[in-house]
Amino acid sequence: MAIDRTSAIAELAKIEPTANEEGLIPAFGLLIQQLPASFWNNFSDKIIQAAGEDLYESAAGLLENAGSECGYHTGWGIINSYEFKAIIGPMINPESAKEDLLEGAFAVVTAFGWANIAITELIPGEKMILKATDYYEADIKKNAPSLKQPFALMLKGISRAFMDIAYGDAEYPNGLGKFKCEQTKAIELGDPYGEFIVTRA
Amino acid sequence: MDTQKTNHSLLVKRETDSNLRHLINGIHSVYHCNHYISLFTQLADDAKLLQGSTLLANAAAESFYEVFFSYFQENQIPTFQDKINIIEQYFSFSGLGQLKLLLTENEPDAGKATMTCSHIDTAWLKKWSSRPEPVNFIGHGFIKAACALLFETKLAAFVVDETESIVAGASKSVFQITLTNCEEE
Repeated sequence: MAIDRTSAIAELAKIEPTANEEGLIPAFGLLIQQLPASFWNNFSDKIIQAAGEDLYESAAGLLENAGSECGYHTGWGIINSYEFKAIIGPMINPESAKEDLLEGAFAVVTAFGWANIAITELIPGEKMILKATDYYEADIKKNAPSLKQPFALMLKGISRAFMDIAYGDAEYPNGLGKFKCEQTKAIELGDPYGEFIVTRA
Repeated sequence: MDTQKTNHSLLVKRETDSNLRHLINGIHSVYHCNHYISLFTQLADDAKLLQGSTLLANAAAESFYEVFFSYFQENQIPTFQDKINIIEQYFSFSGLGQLKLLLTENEPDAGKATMTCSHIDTAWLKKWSSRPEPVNFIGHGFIKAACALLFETKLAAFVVDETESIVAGASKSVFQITLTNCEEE
């Protein structure tokens, strides 16, 4: 792959979308907000606790789905943005364009402060393994020390959505849901890093 | 560190830590999109048996309370109205829209808040469509946190009732704020 991740992250991190006179932040063809990370974790924890074991799969699945829709639409908006094309575009090798695009997208995830996450293995169109040395969802371990399940549902959703963008069977916006993701290691459960494996659904 | 002063007096200190997390006034903050916040809101709304909307409002209240508490500890904010201004500016700075808190010092019994623009309502309308019931549970939590800080009460001391909603077709959202006797968290 041709992406200079360190340089890409440094440049992407300089992007600071700001609110307009209505108090809204239009960016990448979307409306975004910048809220405390604790809020997202806090609600996810509350709804999972309330769901209990019987409804865990439903609650976790819906939280992951929120992440996948976010990743799909925001990811598409970002890779088609002027900023992404200006920073990542020149690093993309036409012979590995989709793979470079994916690596660039995860540089965005890191630059935007969601997770320090990078691809460690990629079989184009089939499988992707990611390693995250830091991600905000892992912070839940401070409030839920007895956590039993991996908690990085947003990252799971985003990771599979990015594969949908790169290798989905249908063009945007009709290609979501062709991949699935498993979190196989979790900082929040005591592992030294988070690991995510994306494969075809 | 990048420090900027907004139009009035909200001081915004942006930092990036060694893990590349974004800190705003020392609080780790993340960007998310209208899709993500709408799906969280929908999940909360659908989970009526679990009181999902209350869980979402409480999650927001707890997190924003921490933001305001930390800010007011770090910065000397002289008056009640200055604190209100800071909270309203933070609301807009975060991308949540335009909030006006109509509160009177030492009179916590009844107050009102309005939003002439609401990210939550706009996001819902963009993703789905209008509906008669309010969807701004996060806004409820934000207002509760503001009132608890301003009147030095517990979060549970206030009930916020949205009586007009942009998502229902109103030109602005209106929230009635009532002080209760409930002091339990």
